[in-house]
Amino acid sequence: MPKYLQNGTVEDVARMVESLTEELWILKDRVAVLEQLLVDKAVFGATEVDEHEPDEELSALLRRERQRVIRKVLGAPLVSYGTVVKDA
Amino acid sequence: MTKTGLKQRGRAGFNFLAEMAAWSGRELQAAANEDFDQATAGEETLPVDQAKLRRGYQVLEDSKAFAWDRFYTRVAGEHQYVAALEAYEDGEVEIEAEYAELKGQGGTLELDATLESPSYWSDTDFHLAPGGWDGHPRMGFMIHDYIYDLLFATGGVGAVKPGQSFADQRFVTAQHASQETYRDILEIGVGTGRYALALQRAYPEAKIHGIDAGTSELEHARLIAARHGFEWELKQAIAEDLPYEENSFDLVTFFILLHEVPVPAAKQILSEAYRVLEPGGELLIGDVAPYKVQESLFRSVILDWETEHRCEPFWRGALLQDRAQLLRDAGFERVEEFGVGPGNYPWVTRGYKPA
Repeated sequence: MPKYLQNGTVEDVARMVESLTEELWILKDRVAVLEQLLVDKAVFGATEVDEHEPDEELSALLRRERQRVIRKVLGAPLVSYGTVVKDA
Repeated sequence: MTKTGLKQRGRAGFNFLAEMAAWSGRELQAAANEDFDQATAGEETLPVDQAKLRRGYQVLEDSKAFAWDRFYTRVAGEHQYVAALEAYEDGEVEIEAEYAELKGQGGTLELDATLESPSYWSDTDFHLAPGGWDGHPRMGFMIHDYIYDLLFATGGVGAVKPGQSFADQRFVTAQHASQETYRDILEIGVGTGRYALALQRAYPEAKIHGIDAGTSELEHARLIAARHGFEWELKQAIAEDLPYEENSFDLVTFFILLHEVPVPAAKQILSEAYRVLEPGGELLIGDVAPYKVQESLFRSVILDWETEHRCEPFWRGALLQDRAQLLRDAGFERVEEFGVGPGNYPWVTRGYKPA
């Protein structure tokens, strides 16, 4: 696989991880707010998300999506893309 | 699967770790195995010994798949305790309620607050458990109910292959004691009772006795007994100094204990096992097969990696030992050893105290 970031550093990656963590927190915060609003409006009870056990259909969907995330993110360094472009 | 106290965070977190470990253990390891086979084509890779292990590590330095498999294996090995602790904290009320409800059931438990465990036990964070076996008052619960059942049993981690059934491995081992029935069975290193369950299933009429140095493990073993309606006699003690008279048991057994102790301790444990067995009594051991009978050098490197990378400091020494000879040296006769599962796991070693 061709490489482009010959001069990348751990510091660069650390900054990206920190920014990603900020965004992840913002998303988690928003989910918590959404949950609270739904509880306040009595759409479901306060413990229902925590106690929820996925049925077969949801379990299968979660498994499929989980496997996609793992392959895509964790497997990214191991994927080979494209072919070598030969000189004309 | 309904687990005491498990909430969404724990469920999702363990689902992820298990999926990651299963993907790495199956796909990345398979790719690493291919790299290994290509690099060692034409070489004699068996029987495995220390020199061949060194060669194996050297060959795998060039395998990208191996490097990432080891990275994810290590991360899973660390994060399983983070996930378990968070899950325990989220479910503490229900978990402690079950302990309270079943208190007094499951047989007897004699704890010993004055027990001095050997430093190799108390100073080692076995399997990367923060603080070791008793690094948390509910370490036994977290390892048994969460880490084993939600991660090891599905994803595998490290030496454990994805999809392996721990119950089956222990039951198969228990079934390889030579008699149909036993009166009094002692499990040395009973831990959280996983093997004791298998023993009770295999020998329903037997009285199960167990010792362990770990408080949280013994408390959970008793809970496990109570959940199943069994009554076990559990004591807190060290394996090198058993709290029983000689000639007390007709079967002494342990499962994956010997690779957790240094070889000198293993010899003491075998000596104690001999002492407490009655004449003609049987010793039954199930463990990872010694390297000399492993069927694959690649697999042996995967196993050996546990020594330095998943806090199994006594693993390599144990697997380089002639286990059968250790039993003979302790006085056991008619010693036999054989594999009872795929890839020779579990590996059974069996012997008898002279009648």
